[in-house]
Amino acid sequence: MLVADALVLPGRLRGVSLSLRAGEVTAICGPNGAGKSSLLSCFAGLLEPMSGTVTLDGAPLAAMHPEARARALGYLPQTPEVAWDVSVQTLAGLGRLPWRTSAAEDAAAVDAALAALDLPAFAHRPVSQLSGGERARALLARVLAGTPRWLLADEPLANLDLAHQLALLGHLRACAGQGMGVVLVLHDLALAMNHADRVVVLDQGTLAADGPPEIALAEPVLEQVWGVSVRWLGKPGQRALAV
Amino acid sequence: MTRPVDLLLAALALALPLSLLAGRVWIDPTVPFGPEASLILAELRLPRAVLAVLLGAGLGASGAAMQGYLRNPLADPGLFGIAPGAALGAVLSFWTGWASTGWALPAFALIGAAGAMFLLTLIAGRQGGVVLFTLAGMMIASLAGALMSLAISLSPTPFAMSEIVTWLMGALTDRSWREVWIAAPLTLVGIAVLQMAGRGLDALTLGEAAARSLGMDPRRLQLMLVLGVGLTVGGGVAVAGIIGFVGLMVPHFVRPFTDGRPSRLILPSALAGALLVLVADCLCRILPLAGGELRLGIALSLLGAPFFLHLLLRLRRELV
Repeated sequence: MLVADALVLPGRLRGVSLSLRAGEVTAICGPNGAGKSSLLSCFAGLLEPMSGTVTLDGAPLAAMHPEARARALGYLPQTPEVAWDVSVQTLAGLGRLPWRTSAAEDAAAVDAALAALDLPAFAHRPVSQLSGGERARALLARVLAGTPRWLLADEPLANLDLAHQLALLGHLRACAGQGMGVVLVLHDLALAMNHADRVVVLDQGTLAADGPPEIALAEPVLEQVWGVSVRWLGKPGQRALAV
Repeated sequence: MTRPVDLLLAALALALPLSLLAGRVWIDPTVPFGPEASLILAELRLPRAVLAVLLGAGLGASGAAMQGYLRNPLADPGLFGIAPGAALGAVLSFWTGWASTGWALPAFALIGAAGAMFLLTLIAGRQGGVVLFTLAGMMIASLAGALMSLAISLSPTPFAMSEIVTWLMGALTDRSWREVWIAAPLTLVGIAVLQMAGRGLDALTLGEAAARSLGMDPRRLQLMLVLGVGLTVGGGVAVAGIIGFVGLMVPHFVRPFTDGRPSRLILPSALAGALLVLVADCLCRILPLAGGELRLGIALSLLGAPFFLHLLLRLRRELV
């Protein structure tokens, strides 16, 4: 369990309490400036709240050793950067940094991550020669190579076309199926509606809704939080928004 | 990773003895050394060659670490303001007239480097952000530069002024074992510290947020970098003056032979830097120049500035 208790971050979060479960895909949604990225950063231990605590299985994140925290929580930032033109394999290997394990163990974890994301053929290709979709998978492979129990990703589907969005969601779903806690900040409400097990809606730094997508993203919530009058079309799991 | 290291070690092992033979007096290795040749070798050429190796290794390693830390292939150890700080210290030792007394010059330079390091960590604060840190370094460099100009313009005697200006150009002429004993421990410890920072630099490849999520402690990494660059560059400036561009150029030569991770670049860059400075100093010694010897600092700048321009042009093409 990854639990936030009364998180306050001046100007961004105003007392958010939330407990996340492993084995689920949780989407964090909300308008611009609602505090989604700040909340995710608090869960990742990268932002220290002014008051309130985040605990992982009962242990406060702030008291954990940074490398122990890194082994448990994998984090994918909103604008992933790769400063040097390393190969996909080397990139994924960076995910092993907090482990300090043997080269053989690291290589096995990297191979497994590349295999899970259909990347073995790209192992030796420089990152600069990847397409957008391949790059997104390689960056996710970096996180998975660290075999974290939680995957916290800030808008992992932005800048991807529909086919790659669905493919990446499939990979994330598979991670949750293996017991990993998957937490995604998502802007695309239809993707959240159709692919998340649970949706958390933030509005101006507070929790506006929390529950199964059909309830948390119901039309009155959209009207109240986003200020738009829209309707969901289609059946559950195949929803589309109509303005 | 082992291949470039092995090759560079072999090249150094070949270049070092050869460099001892070259100079104003050429030494023929096929005839037994007379007393004069032995004296030149043991007291002039050997310490100078060892110093060139140490200086180049320190500059190469700190250049590689700086580029890794700033995630920018155009970064140079001079950016942190440590070299200008050390140079300011040395200039003050000339200015006060203490430079002629034994250890005062290197001691002043090291105090200058330490002062710049202290200011840098003080200004950069607790968070360890890279941008603030770089700007702080640039400000310290400008401040040290301005104070150096002030010292030169107010120099007590024309003799002191010419001494300062000549020293600032950077050279290994007439250096002895004393300088080696100053530079060796500082440089070797500095390179070891930079190598230890390698893991953190690797994590930084993914940007600051992702690096912290991988357990990198930004404050600790910053301190290691200040210490490592401070020891290598401060020690180098203390014995040889300002030698530019080595830290900028060398990582570029080495990078294509590594897997691209900053940690794998530090040791090969140290070796390649040692080789570059050793060969450059050797060329300075044998080039026939009317006024005496070509200054090493000038030679490397003449080499480095066009290289920097070439890099800029290549980067510009990639950006278009």
